[in-house]
Amino acid sequence: MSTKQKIIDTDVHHEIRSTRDLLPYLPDQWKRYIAEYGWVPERAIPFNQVRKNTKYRMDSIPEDGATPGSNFDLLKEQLLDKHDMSYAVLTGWFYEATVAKGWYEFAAARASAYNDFTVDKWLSKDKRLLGSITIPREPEAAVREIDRMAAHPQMAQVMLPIGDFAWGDPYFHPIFEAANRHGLPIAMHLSASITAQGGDFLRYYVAWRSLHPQAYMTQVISLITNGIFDKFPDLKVALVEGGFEWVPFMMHRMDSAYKALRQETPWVKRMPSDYFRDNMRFTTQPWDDLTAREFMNVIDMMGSEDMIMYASDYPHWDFDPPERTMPHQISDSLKQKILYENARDFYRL
Amino acid sequence: MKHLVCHYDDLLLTQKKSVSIDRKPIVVVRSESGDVYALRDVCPHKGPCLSEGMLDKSCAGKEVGEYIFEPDKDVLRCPWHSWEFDIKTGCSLFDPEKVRVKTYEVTVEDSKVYVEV
Repeated sequence: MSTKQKIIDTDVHHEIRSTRDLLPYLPDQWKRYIAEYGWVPERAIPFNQVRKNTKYRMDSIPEDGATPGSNFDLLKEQLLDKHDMSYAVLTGWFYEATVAKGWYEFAAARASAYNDFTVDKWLSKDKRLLGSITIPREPEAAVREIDRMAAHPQMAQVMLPIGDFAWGDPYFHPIFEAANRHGLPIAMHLSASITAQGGDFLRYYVAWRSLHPQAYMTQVISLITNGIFDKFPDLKVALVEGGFEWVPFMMHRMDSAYKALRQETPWVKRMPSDYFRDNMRFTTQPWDDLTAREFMNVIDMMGSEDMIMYASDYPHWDFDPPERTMPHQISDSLKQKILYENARDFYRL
Repeated sequence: MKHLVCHYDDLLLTQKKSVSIDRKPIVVVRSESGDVYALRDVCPHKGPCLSEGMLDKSCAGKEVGEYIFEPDKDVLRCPWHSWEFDIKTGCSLFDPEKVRVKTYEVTVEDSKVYVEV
């Protein structure tokens, strides 16, 4: 790879040290629950990995022992500067405010506080950082939050974490309308609440991690069949950290079903695979150790070189560095698209 | 050629130490039983220093639901993707024939640790 290769990282998890970091941005009504009443987010995932620092790179702990991803200077050193990145999209790790069940007023306040924290403590420090608007699940409040944050020049997308419900349902369409109205793309990223069809969390972390693509399949099928891309033809959606090898499989499977069952969803005007190619993007991480030949077979079955964007997942344990993600046999022109151009076009940079 | 890399006592607290010999990155590790081993300090997967990882124990199991802790089987776990390498052989635990880290001969004389490179 050329040393001048430009890079956009589409999945970087900046973190709060604790929920107390949100206190300066919360109205007094809600501060009490964290500062005085001991409220903490529900821990959804029932697993722990066999390693210290469980879900984080072991070398990403700041000197003061704070949560990895919570220290701007270390993130700048280990990611932005070390890999000479043009842009890094902060995807956060505060999806609980979106997937939380009930008490949506407090969840909306936490989402707002997290957005203000992101602007204040992160985006203001480096123009290479782009942000994701965190929203509560309740559509009316979500639209208010999108309208409040969309004008910030570094807020690049609206984040819809993937939990145990499907975002394509018409109940959520006002959220897509708001993003589309502001010209913002949508990102979808797994939360700690995703579960398996018929299997809840399964029994083991290795099983749960392996099933993640299943939850992404649910989302893309839901978006297409509920007519999201027919209502908003220019809307773009990034499916982040859900893999991409399954994508051509689902493109073909949905096309096959559509040919026979089109009348059930007549508002869907195009072949499902067209929406995959024109409206959706997928990310490299976690790179499943594909060989160049295997990868090119996937690209061939997708019928497009424009659908995959590079992601590192810093500071998480399965971090993929840009220089070591794709096998070296892949052409420089395709690497250029995946490492930079596809994301540049997606975010209109 | 033997190179002096550290004092044995240096390994008592941290159990591992990164050193460079002829510009080769090497991690020296001390097992629970006190033996010292040396491996190339680069994960063959994505390239981070294994010395940034952790010394761990293995766990085996023959029957479904059975966990057999193996306190005598020391593994060096990569700081990123958690791959496990046997510190004595450098072999990965998931594919010992194909995925391995180079090892170096170690001698300890008068509480000094030497690595043959």
